Amino acid sequence: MLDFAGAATWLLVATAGATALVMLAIAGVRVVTTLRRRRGSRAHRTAMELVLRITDGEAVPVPTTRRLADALALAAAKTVHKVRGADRQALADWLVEAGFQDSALELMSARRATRRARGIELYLAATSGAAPGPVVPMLRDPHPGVRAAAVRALGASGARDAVPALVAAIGARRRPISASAATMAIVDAAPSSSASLDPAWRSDDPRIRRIAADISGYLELADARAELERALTARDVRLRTHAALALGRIGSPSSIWALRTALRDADPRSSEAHALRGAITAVQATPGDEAGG
Amino acid sequence: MSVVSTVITVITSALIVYYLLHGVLFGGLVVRAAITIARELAWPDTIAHDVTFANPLTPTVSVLVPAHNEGAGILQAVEALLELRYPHVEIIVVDDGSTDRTAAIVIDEFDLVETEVPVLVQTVPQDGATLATYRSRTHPSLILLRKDSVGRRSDAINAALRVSTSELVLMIDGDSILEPDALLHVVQPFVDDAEVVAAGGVVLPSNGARVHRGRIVSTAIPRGWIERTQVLEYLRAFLVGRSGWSSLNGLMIISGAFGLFRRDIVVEMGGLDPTSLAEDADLVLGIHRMLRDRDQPFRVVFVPEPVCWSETPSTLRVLGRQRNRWSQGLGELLWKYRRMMFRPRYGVLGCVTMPYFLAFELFGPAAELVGLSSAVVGIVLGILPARLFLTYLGVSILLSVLVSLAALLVEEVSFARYPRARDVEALFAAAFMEPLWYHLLHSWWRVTGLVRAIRRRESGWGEMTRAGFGQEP
Repeated sequence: MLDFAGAATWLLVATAGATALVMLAIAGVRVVTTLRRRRGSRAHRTAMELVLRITDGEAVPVPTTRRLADALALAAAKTVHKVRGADRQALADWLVEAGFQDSALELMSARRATRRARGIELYLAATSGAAPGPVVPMLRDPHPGVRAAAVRALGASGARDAVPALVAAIGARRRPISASAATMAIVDAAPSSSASLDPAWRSDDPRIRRIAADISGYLELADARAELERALTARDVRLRTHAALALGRIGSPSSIWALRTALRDADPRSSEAHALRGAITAVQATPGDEAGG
Repeated sequence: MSVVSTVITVITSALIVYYLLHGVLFGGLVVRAAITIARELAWPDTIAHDVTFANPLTPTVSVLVPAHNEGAGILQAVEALLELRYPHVEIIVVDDGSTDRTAAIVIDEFDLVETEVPVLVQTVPQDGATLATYRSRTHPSLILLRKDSVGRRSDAINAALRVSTSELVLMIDGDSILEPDALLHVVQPFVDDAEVVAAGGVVLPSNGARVHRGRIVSTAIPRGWIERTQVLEYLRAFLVGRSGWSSLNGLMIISGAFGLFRRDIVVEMGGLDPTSLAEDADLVLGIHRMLRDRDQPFRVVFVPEPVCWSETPSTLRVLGRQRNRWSQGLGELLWKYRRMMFRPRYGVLGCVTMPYFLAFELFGPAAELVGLSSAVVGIVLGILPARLFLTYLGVSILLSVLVSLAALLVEEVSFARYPRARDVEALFAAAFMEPLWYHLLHSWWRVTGLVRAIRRRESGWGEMTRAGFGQEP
């Protein structure tokens, strides 16, 4: 026979105790978080003032307290990709001088994934994206969140040297990165030539070649024209469509023949034909010897 | 021992096991949710949203806003959508046969003119005929579609889906106010992971909040006990339930008030099921089934940070109708997808989430009724000591309070969206009061909903009397 009475009394005491504990925890958390937020917001304000002074070229000493140093690192990481030119360089120089680059490299090899991701952001802030070398291997990090952080940071810092690595990482069989995030990052990095997209153009996977077509179109990379015209004859219809859209954006009149040939072979009611017609209109609108021929 | 005594002992033992199991599962969910949210908050997001905001390749989003007699809140809802910090948003408001000024308000306030909006997806059905389509002259991304109502929200959503042009579609309610960064938060999983097909965010009651130019400028716990108790319910459902299930890849429900989906997947599903009362959960379950059946890797995620503020019922009559409909919808949904249950092919969703919803959400009130009846019979016949019954009742009340407080603790540790101390005190009070009155009513509404589901009764749009939002002067 079960001892219902004993079990009930035990349960009552346990639940009452747990309820009281949770109530105390809520009250405690509220007090602690209120204090932490107050202090955090003070530190953030001070850090932002320091960031402004640094970008103004003032000689700002390294903060002596850990809290302010952390707040400053965070503020710098937030700010660095929003500023350009001399401001950006001043901030990056100061971060290197203050030893933040070394701290960032240490963080990037931390055991916790979130710390590695913070390290990536701080490193790119400190180097202004000029030396993305140590971040590139993070595109193969075991944690997808760290890989995503590396992708974003490389894009935000305009690290053009990292574009081939980004392209290669999209097609990786093991530990791949998000194609969408990588495409956005490459567009942000804005390579000036389609040569950096070579790994994508050489891929057997039409999805990867579609990405190369999209990027070439958005960045209007004229030297991608030959690859795009070749893509108009690919077996994958979506690749053909993306290539047509990209050629339309590039708007080179030299593409007219390739586009017209592709249109002749396309299903007239398909989105491919729609894209081809749009591209033909776009290149015809561009002044040039061969347009409208 | 008599037969009656044996029966009562068996029922009591079974119910103790039942509630113990529920406690263990829900406790596990609380822990999972707390860990997931803590991990989520630990990730640096200093540049993610800026990068997404500024990039020309950021996924485009169509916001589908079904509105049926939403005159009290539609202006603020559309203002909030126009204020969203997101680069490519198309807003499609569907006036679903409103008899109030819903359409007139949108047309007048945002300078809409009648214009043709092409239907791009013919494969998604629409029963109520489209009467007219409009586009704003001042905000060209704002479209209004007026249609005949067939009494179903799903038909209004489908009508909007047919004309939507974006990669992602966000489904919200006509009285929902999104936080300015909400889209950036909820789109991010789609950017970071190509396998994400659907994402839901937190919905909290807007009752008590103050709005200025489409933005929530202050949050406070509403004054009425009905609304206060719903704040607790929403915290439990969203912060604990959905975060927990999502962390196990077993999320079954994405709220119709705030759900983002890949448009091609929704179109492939044929839009929302026009016959379902739980069309939001129906869509999520349908997606799970379709993608699992073709072995396509996918993720349905929950993002705990962005908030959609939505007005909740403030009278028992309206609340009762809503909960009745939800319970009926859940019953019909679980019946429709019953073949997914207990099949490893459907992962955590089929083996844990759906059985949990069946046993504890759908049949929970019925189990309570059985327990209460057997206890009364036991006490009357002298089989069950009244003191023992009262002790168990105390345990059950305290467990209910504990669950609410656990959700509140998760909220306090993570976001603390109710800044004033007296708000927390009010929620403490609501947590202790809830089992004494609200729970009983809720159980009754759920039982009647279950009966309606079993008897296959028809139901339509839930009519709700809106008070609108408190305006900041």
